[in-house]
Amino acid sequence: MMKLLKYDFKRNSAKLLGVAVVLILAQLSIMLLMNDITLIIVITLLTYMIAGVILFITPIRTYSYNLKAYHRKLLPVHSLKTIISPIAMGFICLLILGLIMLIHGYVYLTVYDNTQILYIIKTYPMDTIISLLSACWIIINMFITIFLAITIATSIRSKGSFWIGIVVFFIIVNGLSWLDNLLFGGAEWGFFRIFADESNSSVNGVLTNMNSLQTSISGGMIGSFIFELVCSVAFLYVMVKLIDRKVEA
Amino acid sequence: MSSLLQMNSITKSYGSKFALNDVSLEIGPGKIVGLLGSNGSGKSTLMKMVTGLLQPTRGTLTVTGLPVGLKSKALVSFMPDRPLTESWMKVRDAITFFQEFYDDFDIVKAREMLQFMKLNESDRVSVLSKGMSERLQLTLALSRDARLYLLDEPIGGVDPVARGKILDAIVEYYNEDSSIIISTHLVRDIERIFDEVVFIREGEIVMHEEVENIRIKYGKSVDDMFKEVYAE
Repeated sequence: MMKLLKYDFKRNSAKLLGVAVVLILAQLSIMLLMNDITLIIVITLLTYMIAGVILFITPIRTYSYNLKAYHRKLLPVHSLKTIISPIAMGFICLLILGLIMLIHGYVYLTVYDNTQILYIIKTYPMDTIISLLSACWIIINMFITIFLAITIATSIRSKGSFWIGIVVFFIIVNGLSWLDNLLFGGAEWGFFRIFADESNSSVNGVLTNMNSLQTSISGGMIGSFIFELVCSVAFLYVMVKLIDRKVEA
Repeated sequence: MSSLLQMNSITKSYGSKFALNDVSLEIGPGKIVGLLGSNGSGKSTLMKMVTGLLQPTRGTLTVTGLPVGLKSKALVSFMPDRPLTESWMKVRDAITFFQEFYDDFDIVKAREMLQFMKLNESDRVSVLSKGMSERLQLTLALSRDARLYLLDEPIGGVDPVARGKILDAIVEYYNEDSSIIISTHLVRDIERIFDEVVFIREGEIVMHEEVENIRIKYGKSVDDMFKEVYAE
């Protein structure tokens, strides 16, 4: 798997490097040329978002390419590795971007002395950790779902298979969401409950009274996570079977 | 003698169109087999099926008794009609790629072949001419100690000098315990290296003979026989 990952990275190295360079230049420009703090925040978040979208799309394109590429199809490697490799690539890239964002955010919060967000994080460390893990899982889960739709579309040799893939994707996402709601009452895991807790009070955006809350892990959330995990494993199984028996180069 | 390749009643259809129709074929070890047919006769489809790039609609297919899959991919070396390399690669990267993924890749043989083919390891794959690119693809395919080699049109689109060079390389570098299937419609240039020929027309095998038998039985060269079979 590491070998496949290496070659996936090598193929996309120019693009990834380009995104990194543009991101750095954009952040430097924002830092040096802008004074309005609101504008700085908006533009900074926008550049990170654009970089994130590119890094999210890159593994999807890589997977789609690998499914059809002769030199990849001919390799004596298990089909599961073909699926995992671009997911790992996308995850690593987005993780690095996320870490850069966090460091940048921490520097910003320290420089501008915005203690409100730091206070929230310190008060709810478990929620912070769960939220970060949740974000990681959402990324992986989304990659698996998109890859399943691509695999199904590629395994159909007819006109309009692209659209079939898109329809399949939305059916899967909405179907799972509906089932999740039905089974676990729509329990989301890893959100700062402080934002929803009406018993907290604030003046001019600064928290003046915050109620102590227990960590937000509940049975429903764990159930929801296990449900998504089981679905993802099932999706991987279906993809492996489709790649081995239906997807043709 | 057990067969290297066994195809039983293989059919490949796309809707109502048959790319291969009820094809049965058996290839033993130690043979150079010519898979001959005009454009669109099903040569490439047959090869892609043996390598697992395409799945048969009906029928069974085995390589050394193994069904086509993960294990058979390690035994079959394929030079397809499109590059086995990526545009960012240099010749050196392509060699490393094969070395890393195929246990049977012989790096010494690869370096020897690169020299024979006059290819530089530092050359970018994307700037190679068609002839040089085909030489590289052939180097990659033949540098493996595979049981079955499949070469899809290895001399298509290259000049006569390059053709001679490629044919010499095939004869010199292929593993003699293995078999090699070469698809082509340029019969005259290549018939000298064949032990057997398979004539395929509109997805059906119309003849499978040893070259010697064609000469003795029919008193014709393979090229003459090809023209007779495919006369319109």
